[in-house]
Amino acid sequence: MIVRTALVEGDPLNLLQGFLGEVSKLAVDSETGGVEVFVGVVKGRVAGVRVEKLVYTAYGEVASRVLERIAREEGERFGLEAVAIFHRVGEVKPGEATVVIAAAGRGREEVNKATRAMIDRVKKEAPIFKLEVREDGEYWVLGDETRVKRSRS
Amino acid sequence: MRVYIKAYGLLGDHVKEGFYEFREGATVKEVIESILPESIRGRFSVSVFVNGEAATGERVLREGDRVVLLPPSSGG
Repeated sequence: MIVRTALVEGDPLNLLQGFLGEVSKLAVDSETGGVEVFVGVVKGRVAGVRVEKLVYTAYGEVASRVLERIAREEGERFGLEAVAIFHRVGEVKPGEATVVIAAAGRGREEVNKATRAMIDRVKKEAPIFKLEVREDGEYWVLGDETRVKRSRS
Repeated sequence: MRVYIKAYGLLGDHVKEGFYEFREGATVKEVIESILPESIRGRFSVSVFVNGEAATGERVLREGDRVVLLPPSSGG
């Protein structure tokens, strides 16, 4: 199974093309029949309030290990041929990609389930933290989408 | 003893990164109670890593340990 994961400061979509190229080569001599790709993007508005940007920080050494573990475990669970998780760190503007998750396997059912499982786990398990900078202030976004207005001691 | 502490996300707004002085044999729990305001401790779960490995509150710290404090994750 091909497993590709990364925390990236640039556009994670740039890594997708290389992954799809690997899948294409793999499919030539395997039963790989489909690839599903989930791309998270920054919302320009939240509850009607304009969002200026998101700022992602990560506990890098552990976050990298967690992304790799999630990809490998879900890939094995659903019998996939290739999986990828590329997550952005740093500042991201509305409309830009925050995360790219891809799964390649024999059919659409398993790749669909795998991509959903991977994004759910990334939100909960990877030590990655999201600050939402909005026109009405700065908010830390927690995994359950709770927003906490930023305050400093 | 001196322990290096770094906090991420919303915890980082309340804990300055750097070396802190604690008594010999201090535990992770004591460190958290010492440096994180109660209003934050009581409101959010805090995960801890020591030298890159997950640690519980009972973990006894040593000189030079690197402690990382993490709030709930919010990737994606």
